[in-house]
Amino acid sequence: MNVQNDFFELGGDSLSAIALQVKLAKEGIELNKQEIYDNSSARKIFAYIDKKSENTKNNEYESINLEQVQVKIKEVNNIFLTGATGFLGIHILNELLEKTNNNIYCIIRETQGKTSVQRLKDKYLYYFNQEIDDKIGKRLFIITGDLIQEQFGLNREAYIDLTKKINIVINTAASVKHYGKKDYNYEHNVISTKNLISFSEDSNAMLNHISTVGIAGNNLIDTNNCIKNSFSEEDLKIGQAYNSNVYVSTKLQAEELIIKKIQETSIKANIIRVGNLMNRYSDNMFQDNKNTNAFQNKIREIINIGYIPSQMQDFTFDLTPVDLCANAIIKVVLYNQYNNVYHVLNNQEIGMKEIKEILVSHNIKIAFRDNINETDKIKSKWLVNDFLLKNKQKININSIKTQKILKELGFSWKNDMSYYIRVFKSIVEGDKDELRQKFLKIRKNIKNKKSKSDIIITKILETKYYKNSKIIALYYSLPEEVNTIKLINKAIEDGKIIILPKICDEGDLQFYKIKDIRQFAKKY
Amino acid sequence: MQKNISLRIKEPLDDVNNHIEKSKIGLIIVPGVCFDKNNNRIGFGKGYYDKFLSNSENIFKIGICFSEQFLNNDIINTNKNDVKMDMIITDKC
Repeated sequence: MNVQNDFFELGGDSLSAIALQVKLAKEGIELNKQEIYDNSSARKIFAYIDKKSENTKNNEYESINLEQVQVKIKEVNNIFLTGATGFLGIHILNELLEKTNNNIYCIIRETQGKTSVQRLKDKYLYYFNQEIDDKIGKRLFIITGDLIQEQFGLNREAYIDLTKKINIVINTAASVKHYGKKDYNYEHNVISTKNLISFSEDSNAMLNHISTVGIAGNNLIDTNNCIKNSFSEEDLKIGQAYNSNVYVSTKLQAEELIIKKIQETSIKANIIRVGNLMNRYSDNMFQDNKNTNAFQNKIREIINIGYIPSQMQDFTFDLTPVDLCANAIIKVVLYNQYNNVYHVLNNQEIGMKEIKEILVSHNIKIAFRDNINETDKIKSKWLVNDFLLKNKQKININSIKTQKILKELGFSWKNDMSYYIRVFKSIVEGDKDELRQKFLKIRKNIKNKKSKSDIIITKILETKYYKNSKIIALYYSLPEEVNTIKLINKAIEDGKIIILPKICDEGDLQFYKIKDIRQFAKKY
Repeated sequence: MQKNISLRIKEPLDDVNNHIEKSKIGLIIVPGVCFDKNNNRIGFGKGYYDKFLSNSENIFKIGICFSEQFLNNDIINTNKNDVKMDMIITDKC
């Protein structure tokens, strides 16, 4: 290995990149994962470090100044929806199908040997537990195409046909990879936006571009150069070191392209920046690729190491339920005003101290701790970015303008603590809650429970553990469970000491001896 | 027995004289919504048994369920608060 060898070609992966990141940090050199990806040989890293302080600091300040236009939104529109198989996209699709009369044209790629139609059908079934077939061809139309190709890779007639139909575009398609090679994010966040701008010009459609409040810079390496600690709908560049993160930099570039086109009056558009998308409010369902959400990964790492780095104790997070977010987006898309920037996020943020209490209520042993040891850092690739970085001030997302409009449109974020409790329960439990619901349903329909219970009891009685134990803890079964009544009786008959559980006031389980089951049954 | 809807409908009276310390228990039969082949358990979501059974290596833990509630292929995602059973008994295995 020499100074020119590429770290990743030598077998380095994102985990060893973190180890490298931690090592460098110990030497006082703070690089984030993106910087390691982009400078993946030792020579490049050293050269990069020299230039770094110049590079990540930036003094670009730019606000957004747009002239709003009034438009008359029709009763029935032909809406072109991109990213419909994504977590937000499919919820917007569902809102449009369930709550409006609009026609929806979804452009979907063919990937992994699956047709565009099949991909949407699978995702819809996954998220909404119902078939979408009966809607296809009526109000829902699926176009096989690729946003990063010019004219979406469609043949000329198909493209022109589409430009004649469509009057509203909703662009939810994006690559949300925060770190990695730049080209991929550039194609999926910038090139696709360019093509959608051209399409909006060709069709004279209004473009609604979904962006992220992440561009404010809260996940970036350096926010100390920011000229303010609040980021409103009018803000674009406030000195945030956007070049340190490909997701943020490409989403910001896409916004710039749109703003320029609005100012040239060649398109009408909205930029809708969304918050931290979380579990559905209605039933707590979360995205299928659970392990890609930065916030949830951080919480999982906290649970895993057993403490919260105290640097994080004043952090706050917006948790924006995806279904409410989709509903709010539809409302602003169909609002009779264009050339707006919106901040669609749950404006009541939750703090780390509240998060700690909720985790404790889910029986997670957790506390704040000052010193994070090195092995825990290596295990915690998502947290590392937050607690390694010293040059950070929190940028508050100002959404006053948007919240006011949403209120006028009859929308509210249903803020209640029970939502947060449910969200953290699903983070703590992973897939467990889904499995629990599934098997509770299965249990209801099991046949011959009595004879099956008898088989189970016989097997228990045959074990040496039963034979050798003097004190045995059992439970008094509910009607749907394996029936334990016979077992309790038999064990008492066999001279065992039988104890049954009771929940004491502190919420702990305690066991108490019983002598005769009939006696208790009568009392009950 | 008195009514308690939070976990078990029927519970013993909490007579101090009848209370048995965890350390004296030889065998416990544990209910569950489902179990997997690695002896992991999904309970009722309150964590009562996991809490009670932490640091209880002395107790032999048998999880029981109907065979329909046994995950033949999947593995339950667990964290360090989840207590593994020592054995699972169903009507088939």
